[in-house]
This record gives sequence, structure tokens and C-alpha cells, in this order.
Amino acid sequence: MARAELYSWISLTALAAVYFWFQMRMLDGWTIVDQPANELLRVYFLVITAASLSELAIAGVIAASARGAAVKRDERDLAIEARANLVERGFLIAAVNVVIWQALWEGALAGHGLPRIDLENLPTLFFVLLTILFAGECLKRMTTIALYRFQ
Amino acid sequence: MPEADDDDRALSLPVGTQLTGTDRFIAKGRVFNKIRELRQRAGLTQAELADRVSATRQTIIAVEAGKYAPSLELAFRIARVFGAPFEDVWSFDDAG
Repeated sequence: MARAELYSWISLTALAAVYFWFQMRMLDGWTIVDQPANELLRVYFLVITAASLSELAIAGVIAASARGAAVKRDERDLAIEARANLVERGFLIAAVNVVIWQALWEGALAGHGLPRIDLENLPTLFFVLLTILFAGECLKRMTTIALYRFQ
Repeated sequence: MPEADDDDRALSLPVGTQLTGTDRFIAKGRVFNKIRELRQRAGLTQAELADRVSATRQTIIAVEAGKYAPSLELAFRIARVFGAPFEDVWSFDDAG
């Protein structure tokens, strides 16, 4: 297994664990819990810190395991990383656009039975945006794993 | 100079070596290669070939399996390791 693939597996697991903790703090069943801004800020810093530290630790361990290897990364690794970044970027653009359309066409969508995001509610907006970020990162790692398996 | 190093390390497969019998081109789409056969004839492991062309073993495995088509630069490096003409290692099916 390539080191980048191993990194993606471990990182995906760590991201899932951090997101699980995040959604435990934000959701009650399928309902987003109303919380004050200072509590959201605290959750935000905890999530970002946990995600960053876990990524640093995983990257450090993987880099240490590669010590002594003649070639650590080559053109295939870079090509796969580029494609995974492209997939993530496409997802983020699409997801942010959905949020923008939702915000702009709130009135138009209100008359329909479509699921709606209450963007005027701060916890909802916070949860949606962080979920998009997590989903983008997870998609990037899943794409990396798939490309290493099939390319 | 990497090119000189590659030439120095080129193996002594005769130029224009023809692979026959069970030797088959491995394909990535319409790009085919005979790396596995040439490597085995040269007595190289995948890791050794990877070191010689500055690639990872996983990339050599993927190329041999036809899952990854390398860049022109890597393709030329691989051919030089075997001391074989490019066309003997790689081919392209332009009729497909």
C-alpha cells in the first residue's frame, strides 16, 4: 500500500472521529441544537484544533515511516493528489453554490416541499458550513484511496 | 547528469529484443508495455527498477499491471534501464 493511501485511510478515520464528536455537540436527533455564539466559537476552535493536531500527527508518523526510502513520492502520487484536489474543489464549489442559491431564492423555495436550510439561524449556518468542509476533506481522501486502488 | 547515470546503468538486453510466446503487452487503454517481461529477463525486482527510474515500487506495479500510463519522461527512463529502444518497451494502438 502506498504511503499516501495509508495516510488517506488513517486521516479519513480521524476526520470521521472528529466529525462524529462535532455532530454530537450540534445535533439532537436530526435537529440542530440552538447554542449561543460563544459556545459555537468554542466548538469551532476545538474542532479545528483536533483536526489539525490529528493531521499533523498522522503526517509525522507517515513521514517517519518513509525515512530512508530512496523515492518518497513520484509522478503517480502527484497525479493522484492533483485529481483528488480537483474533486474536492468541485465538491466545495457545488456545495457553496447550493448554499448561495438557497440564500438567494429562499422565497421561491419556501413554496415548495424541498428541504430547506434555515440560514438565518447561526447554529444551522455554522453546522452546514463545517459539514461542507468535512465532507470535502473526506471526499478528497476517499478519491485518493479509490485512485490508488484503480489507477 | 541523470541521463548519463541511466545510460551507465542500462542493462545488456540486445537492442530490438523480440518477446515471443507468452510474452504479452500490458495495456493501459491503448498504451501497451512489456516491462514485466523485460524486468524479469533482466533479473530485476520491482523495487530495484523503481530505484533506477526514481519512482516508487507502487508505481512500477501499477504500470506493469496496465493501471497507470506513465509520463513520457518515466517511460524513456524505463526503456533506458533495459537498454532497449522505446518502441520495444512501449507501443500505442492507434487503430483502436
